[in-house]
Amino acid sequence: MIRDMEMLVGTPNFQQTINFNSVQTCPFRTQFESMMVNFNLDQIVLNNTRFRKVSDTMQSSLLDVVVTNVPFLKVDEIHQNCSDHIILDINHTKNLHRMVGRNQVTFNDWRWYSGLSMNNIFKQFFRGLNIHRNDPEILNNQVVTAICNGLNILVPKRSVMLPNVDSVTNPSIQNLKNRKSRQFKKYKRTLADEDFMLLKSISKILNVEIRKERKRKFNFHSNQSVKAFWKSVNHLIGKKVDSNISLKMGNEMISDSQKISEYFSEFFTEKVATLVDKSLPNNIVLGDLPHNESDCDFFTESEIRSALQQIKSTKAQGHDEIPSNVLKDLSQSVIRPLTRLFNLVIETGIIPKGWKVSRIVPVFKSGDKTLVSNYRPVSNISSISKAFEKALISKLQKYLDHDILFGSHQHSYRLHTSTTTACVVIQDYVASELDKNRLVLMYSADLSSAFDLLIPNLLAQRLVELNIPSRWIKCIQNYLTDRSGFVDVNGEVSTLKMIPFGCVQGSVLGPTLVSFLFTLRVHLMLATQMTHTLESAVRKITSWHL
Amino acid sequence: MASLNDLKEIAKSHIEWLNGLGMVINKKKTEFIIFGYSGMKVDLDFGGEKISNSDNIKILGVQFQANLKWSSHVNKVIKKMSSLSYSLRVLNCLLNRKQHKNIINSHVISQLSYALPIWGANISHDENRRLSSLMLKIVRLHCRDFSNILSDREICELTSIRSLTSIRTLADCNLLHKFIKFPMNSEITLRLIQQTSFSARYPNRLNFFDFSYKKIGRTSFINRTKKIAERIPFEWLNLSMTTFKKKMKEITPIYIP
Repeated sequence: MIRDMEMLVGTPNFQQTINFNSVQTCPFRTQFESMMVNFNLDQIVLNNTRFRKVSDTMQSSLLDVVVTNVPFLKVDEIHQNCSDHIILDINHTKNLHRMVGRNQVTFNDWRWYSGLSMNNIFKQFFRGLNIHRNDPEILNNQVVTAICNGLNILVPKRSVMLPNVDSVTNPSIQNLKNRKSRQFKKYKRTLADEDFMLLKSISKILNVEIRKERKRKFNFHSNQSVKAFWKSVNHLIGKKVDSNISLKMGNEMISDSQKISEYFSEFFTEKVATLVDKSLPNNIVLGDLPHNESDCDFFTESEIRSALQQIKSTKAQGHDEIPSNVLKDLSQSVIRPLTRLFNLVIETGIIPKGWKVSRIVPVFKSGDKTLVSNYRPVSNISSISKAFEKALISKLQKYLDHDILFGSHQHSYRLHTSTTTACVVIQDYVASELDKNRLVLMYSADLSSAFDLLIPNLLAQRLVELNIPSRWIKCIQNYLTDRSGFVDVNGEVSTLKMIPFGCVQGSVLGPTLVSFLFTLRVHLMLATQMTHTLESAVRKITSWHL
Repeated sequence: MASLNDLKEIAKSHIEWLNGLGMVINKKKTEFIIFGYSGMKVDLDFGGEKISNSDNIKILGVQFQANLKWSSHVNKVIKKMSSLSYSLRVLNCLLNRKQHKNIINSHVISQLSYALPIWGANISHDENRRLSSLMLKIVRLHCRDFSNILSDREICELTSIRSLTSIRTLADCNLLHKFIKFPMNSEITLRLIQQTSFSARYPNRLNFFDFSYKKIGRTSFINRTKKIAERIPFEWLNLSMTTFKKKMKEITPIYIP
């Protein structure tokens, strides 16, 4: 037995390397597991000696347990190196970075570092990059592996327990509840005043106890992290988020995550396939693209820097597992390889395959929770791809703000507009038409999976009409074809499925592309207004794309 | 009715155009409404499926009614807010004041102030009373022990949670600011000022122009709103709300359903 354990908890020093000689399973495993949960730790290292600073002099002392949350102490490597340490291997970190269980979330603890210091350290990873290569595919892979390596080596993982507030399981409370129900039955039988008073006093005590219990649990969870705090608040307010999905498949209920994810991926691909059969223009032949290339097509470093800043850091990471806030903080060191990469993509018109793979997460819409059709496929794409799309959109914005093309009826994805302005315009139009004794018919059509049905060639035709540079059109065409995706349910992943064409829900570029597709209609309508005047009740056809 | 048939044809052509783009309309979720029409139900053909017109339709989270009243939307907001007020009471013993206030701002006020300039102008007196009393109830919950001692106004000042009227002014200011920045809609902006009529709604609170100046800091905004304020005779400000509104209707072309 080990007595008087001394624990080291805190930031590990990355400058020193620690060597280990053997791996053993800890005999008092449960004891350590509870400790690990309390301190949000991933690993426990047991060693014999170490040096410690005591009043400016180095002293060697006996140390029993080193508790770290350094992720890169892989067990395989430790076998090979020889030293005087023993690792207590607790099989807890299995598939660590993907672990989003029901009650636990694991993530890179990026908060320890300020962006500046990290930039200097990461520079060494980008030094080896050969940025003069001419293939975007290879360059993208290099950048991704460089960032991933840096993350795995330098940034510790941290896991946080999420609250489970719904069950108030205190024996005293359960006791009181039983007493209350017994008293209630008695009171119903006798209807005496004394029994009623007793019942009231019991329920009063019970309420106080429940409130205390709630407070205790709430304080425990809310101190852990901001995410846990808001989850428990939302739970109490009634916005319950249940990550546990169980589905109806025929007459069976399935609750295994692996099966569910397979079922989802089948359903989502079939749904799009049936819609594709219905829709008419599938084989549109696109003519030659115009030669309107210029140097302005390419990105400058400042543009990409602003695009990186625009990425939302709270959004989920894609399949390459680079969190967007990391990319944001690393902007100083990453900016040179990224500009080279993005410009290569623009030049060749080939989008790397890694950007086209999306991790699809089913998000519950409304209605019955056990039906597949009540879930919406939301794709998490890689954050580098997001940065590229943001940069491209800021370039396309010039064409979007064109008033002649869009008129005042386009309210989405433009500056200085919002849902409220759209509602005001509708209300104003309706009211002023009614004043003139006219009827107004308004219909709202829901387009089923509009993003999935974006036909690349049709969209390219529109973009050619809008005189958008052909290099960008090539990029967008490539972006919309040969995509693939896999469904992820609670960390369990389905097989990769090909998506022949279309955009995905959750991409940055998608909404803008859809609004580009609808532009010509508004344009045409304005033209008809000028030439024809319909003498009937309605003089204008207006359509709002909301 | 001839005009109704024209409307139907135009809608049909629009649907055909959407199909030509490769888009498929989800018939279950498609609705239509005819404003200013109250008669027999009208059917419209959406690709083989007939859909009849509905009385109210939800667009961008706002319930539009065929008679351009907002009672259904107000009822929904009241329902949401009253259910929130219960959960706020549960949270009251768990959170400190700052957290509690954060939750009021994020959950209650955002519910209330969404699209407020659109429906807030034309609600009835009774609905207005219900909304403001709910808001007061929530603010009193926030105050806890002091709520019995203090008056409504003192509570509002202490907690610095906005009352219903000031939430309205803020929402209206934000919206107007947006419209003034958006160059296409100068006509609508003027009509908006006249119709939702800031000045008509708050005869006693013309000082909000100063407040908006601090908030927004746009000289053009102030010039425009001041012009409208100048059109109102100064004596009117002492009148009661209802008579003030009547007089405002005489000088401004307010829409009456």
